[in-house]
Amino acid sequence: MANISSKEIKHIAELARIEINEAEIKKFSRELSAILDFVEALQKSPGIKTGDGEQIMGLENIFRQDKEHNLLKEKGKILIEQAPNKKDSFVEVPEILKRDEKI
Amino acid sequence: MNFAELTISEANQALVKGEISSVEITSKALATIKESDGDIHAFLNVFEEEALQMARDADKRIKQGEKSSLVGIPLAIKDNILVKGFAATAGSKILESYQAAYDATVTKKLRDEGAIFLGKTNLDEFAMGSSTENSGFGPTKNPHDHQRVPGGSSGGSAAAVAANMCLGALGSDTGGSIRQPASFCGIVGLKPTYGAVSRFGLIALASSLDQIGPVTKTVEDSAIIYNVIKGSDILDSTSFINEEVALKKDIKKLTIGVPREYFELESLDGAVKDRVEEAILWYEKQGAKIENISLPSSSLGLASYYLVMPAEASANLARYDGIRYGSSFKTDNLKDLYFKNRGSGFGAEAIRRIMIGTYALSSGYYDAYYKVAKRIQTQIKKDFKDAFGKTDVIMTPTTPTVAFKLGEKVENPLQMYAADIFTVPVNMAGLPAISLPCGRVENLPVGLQIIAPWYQEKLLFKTGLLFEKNH
Repeated sequence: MANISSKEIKHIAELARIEINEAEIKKFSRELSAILDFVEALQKSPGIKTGDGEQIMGLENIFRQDKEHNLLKEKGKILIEQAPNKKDSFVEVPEILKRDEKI
Repeated sequence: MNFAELTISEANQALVKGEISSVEITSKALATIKESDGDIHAFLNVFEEEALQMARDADKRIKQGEKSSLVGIPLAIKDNILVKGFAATAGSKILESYQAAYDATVTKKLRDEGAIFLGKTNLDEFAMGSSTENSGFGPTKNPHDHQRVPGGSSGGSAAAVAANMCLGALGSDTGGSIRQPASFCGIVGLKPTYGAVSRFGLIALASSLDQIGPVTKTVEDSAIIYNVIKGSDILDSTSFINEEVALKKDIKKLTIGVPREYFELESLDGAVKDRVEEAILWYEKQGAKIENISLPSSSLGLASYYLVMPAEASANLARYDGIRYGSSFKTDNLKDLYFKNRGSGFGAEAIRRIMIGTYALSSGYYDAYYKVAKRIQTQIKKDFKDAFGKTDVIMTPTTPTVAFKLGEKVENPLQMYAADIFTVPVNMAGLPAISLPCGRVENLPVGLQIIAPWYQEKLLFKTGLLFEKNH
C-alpha cells in the first residue's frame, strides 16, 4: 500500500508552489496514496520496455520560420493590461533579489 | 416552429432560404437560456447584446447571398476556449477576472463562417473532472434529471445543447470530456484525431491529449461544425491533418470490432451493456460483420492516463502565479505570492492533480511513474493499430453507467476517475471517436462510442449517420 507521508505532501506542495493547511495535508496524503496504489499496477505489467514515449502522432522537428508574426497590436498592450499589477508597458513583479544581497 | 429545437442543418437551410432569420433563432435561444438556465446553470456568461448584434450582422450577410454552413447559427463555447473581449475562466477562481486577449483559432474560424456566440459554458475547473462538479462557480445539472450530473468536463456545453439553449456547442476532450457528457445528456460528442483541430486559444490541460470538438444534437451537425474548425494551424505546431484517407467500402458492410475487455468489465452496468449491444446488433442486421477483438492494454489505460495527464497538467498550470493574470495578493516576497495565489485560486481537484503530476515528475520518481506511463501509451496505440488491421471501426459503451447523482462521487476521486475508463484509451492513442445516443435506461440516456482509425472522422460520421437516420 503506497503511503505518502505528510512530509512528502508538504514537499510536493512546496515544489508546486501551492499553500495547503494541516487538514488538507492529511486529506491529500490519504487521497494521493490511494491514487498511487491504483497506478502501481503499471509496474507489474509486461511489455513496459516497449516504446520510447515518442510524440503521439509521430511528428518530428516541427519548426516555423524565424519571422515576426505581429499577432497583437501595440506590442501586446492588451496582454500587459491583463496583469493585476502593472506600470506603463511593464508587468510589476515582486523584488526577487534584495538590494544588498550578494549573488 | 420552436426555433430552439432545430438542428444546425435544419436551421441553416431555413436561414439560407429566407424562411427564418438569425435574430429570431438567437432570440429564442436567449429566451430559453433565461427560462431554464437559472436552474440548469449551463452558462457562466451570456452575451445577450453581442449575440443579437452578431445575429443582425449574420442576417445582413445572408441577404447578400451568404450560404456558409454556420452563418446565423447560435452556438455556445466552453469557457476554456478563448473568445476575444470576454471572460475566460476555465471554470476556475484563479482566472475569475481574466479577459481573453485574443480569439482561439477555432473561435476565429466560427466567426468567419458567421456563427453566433451566445456565451461561455460551465466546466470542471481547467477541464479536470467528469461531472462539472469541480467548477469554481457551481455545478451544472443534467437536463434529463436535475438531481444528476451532466457529465464533465464539458458539462455546460452538453447541458446547453440537450436543453435547446443553443443549436450546438464547442467542448474539449482530454480523457472523455466531450464524449462522456454527450453520453449522459443524450446528444452527440466528437473528439477529433489528435492534431486535427488547432489547440491555439484552448486553455491547456494536457498538451499531448487535449482536443477541441463539437457537441451537437445530431451526427450531421457534428460533421458540419467539425468541417469548419478542423485544419492544421501555424499557431499550433502539434496540429496536423491527413485528409487523404478514403472510405473504401459500402458503409453497411463494415467490420465492427467489439473489444472483450470493455464488455466484460465488472463495473459496466448491465442495462447500459444491453443498450449498446442492441445497437451493435442493429448494425449487424444492416450487413455489418462483428469481430470480437482484444485490446490487452485496456486495463492499464486509466492508470497510465492518471499519470501522463496530471504530469502535463502540473506543467501547464505552473503559469497561474497571479503575476501576468489572475488574482494577486499583496505580499512582500515572491514565494508567498505564488503560494497564496495558487493555494486560494485552485480548487481541490486541480490541486490534487497538480500534486500527482509534480510527484510523478519529481527526482527519484520520474522513471518509475511518468516514463513507465509513456511506454504504456505506446502499447495502447499499438493495440488499436493491430485491431484496425482487421476491423474498420470499434464500438464500445461510452461510459460504464448512466448519469450519476450530484454529490455521489465527488468525495471519492478514484470512483470519479473510473467514469472515464472507456474514453481515456482513445485520447492516449490519439484516435478520433464519437458518442451518439443509442437508448435509455430508466429514461436516462446511454451513449454508443464509435472509434475509427487516425484521421478517419468521415468514417465516424458515415457510420453514425447510418444509425441516426435509420434506427
